Amino acid sequence: MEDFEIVELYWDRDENAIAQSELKYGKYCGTIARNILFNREDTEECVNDTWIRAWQSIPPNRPENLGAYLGKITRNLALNMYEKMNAQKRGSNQTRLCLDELSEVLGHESDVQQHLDLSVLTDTINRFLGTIDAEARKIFVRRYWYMSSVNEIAWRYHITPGKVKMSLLRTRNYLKDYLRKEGYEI
Amino acid sequence: MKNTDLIKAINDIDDEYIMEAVRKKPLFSFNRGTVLRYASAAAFVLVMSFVYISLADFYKKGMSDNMTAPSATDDQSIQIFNNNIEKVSDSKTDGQSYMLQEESVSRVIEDDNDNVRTELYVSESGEGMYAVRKARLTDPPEAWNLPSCNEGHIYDYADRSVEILGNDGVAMYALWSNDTYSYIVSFIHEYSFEEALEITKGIE
Repeated sequence: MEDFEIVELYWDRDENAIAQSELKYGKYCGTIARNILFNREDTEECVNDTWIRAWQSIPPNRPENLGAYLGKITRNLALNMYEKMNAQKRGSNQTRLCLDELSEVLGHESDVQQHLDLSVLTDTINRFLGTIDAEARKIFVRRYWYMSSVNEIAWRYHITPGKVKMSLLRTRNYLKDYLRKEGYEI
Repeated sequence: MKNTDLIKAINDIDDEYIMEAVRKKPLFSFNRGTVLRYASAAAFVLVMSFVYISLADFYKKGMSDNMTAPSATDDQSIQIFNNNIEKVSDSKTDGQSYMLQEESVSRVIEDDNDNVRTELYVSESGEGMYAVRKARLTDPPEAWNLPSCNEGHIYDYADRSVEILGNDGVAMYALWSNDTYSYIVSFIHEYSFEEALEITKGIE
């Protein structure tokens, strides 16, 4: 079934929308959640919550790209779950590693309290992603959006893990400079 | 700002960047020019080898004719030659029996209103050989849950660009797409990449 047809089912309040979403994007969302949580039960819970969130948010939303829309919900839910798990000293090393790497972007002043509008920060990151080359962008998104491991990214793009790490390091440094220029205190 | 703020802000980046990172980069890519150059080089080597072998045989035969009288060896050599021909024919027939789609039986195992259709091809002996899955282009490759592979080749022919992936010389699956559908062939038998390509070429 096409994305727009599934979205129409949501708008018609037809519960088949959830079944169709699960059929088409269940594995995709499962991969995203599993990369963050590394736990089967938590992943299943997260993916099931995704359909509920989608049901609650469509309408009013009418996503053009349903895959990305559902993926974002899953990622958001998985990160929230990760934070809770982390408070209980559970959680995956991969997500911890991603967060540690992003701490490098923020530098030593990351604890400075700053009123932060996440949507403005997202816009800034979007603009930043538009300035870097496609390969570096794909590696960055694969690592910090999909939370894929360095080895998986290397396999996916047929490059060495060392090259992936180097690309990520450069992109993080560019991002750091870019955020500074945009007025962020880091 | 905290690192969790940053990772949360990344969540809502543009959809195009998220989907851009979904597709895998093909391992090798051959355009038609490259294929033509390699084919020409291979043909040249083949012709030269044939000429060399023919000349070597000619001189060898000439020398042996001078040294010994004709005997039953000629018949034997003809017989061996015929055997070779028969052997070649046999292997070709064997190959065709599993390579060509029309000589196998297909069974539809999944059909979802023209969105997804999977057919299993079975040999005359009832053995599963390969399955072909056709899905709408909007079905992302991520959702296919494909196994990991350490080898991949891109083959361009007709209007298709087929990516065949596998492990250690054994093809596991082939992927290609047109304007509307994505196709995946999952190989059940152990086929080489060349055999897998032949099978793929035979699929309408």
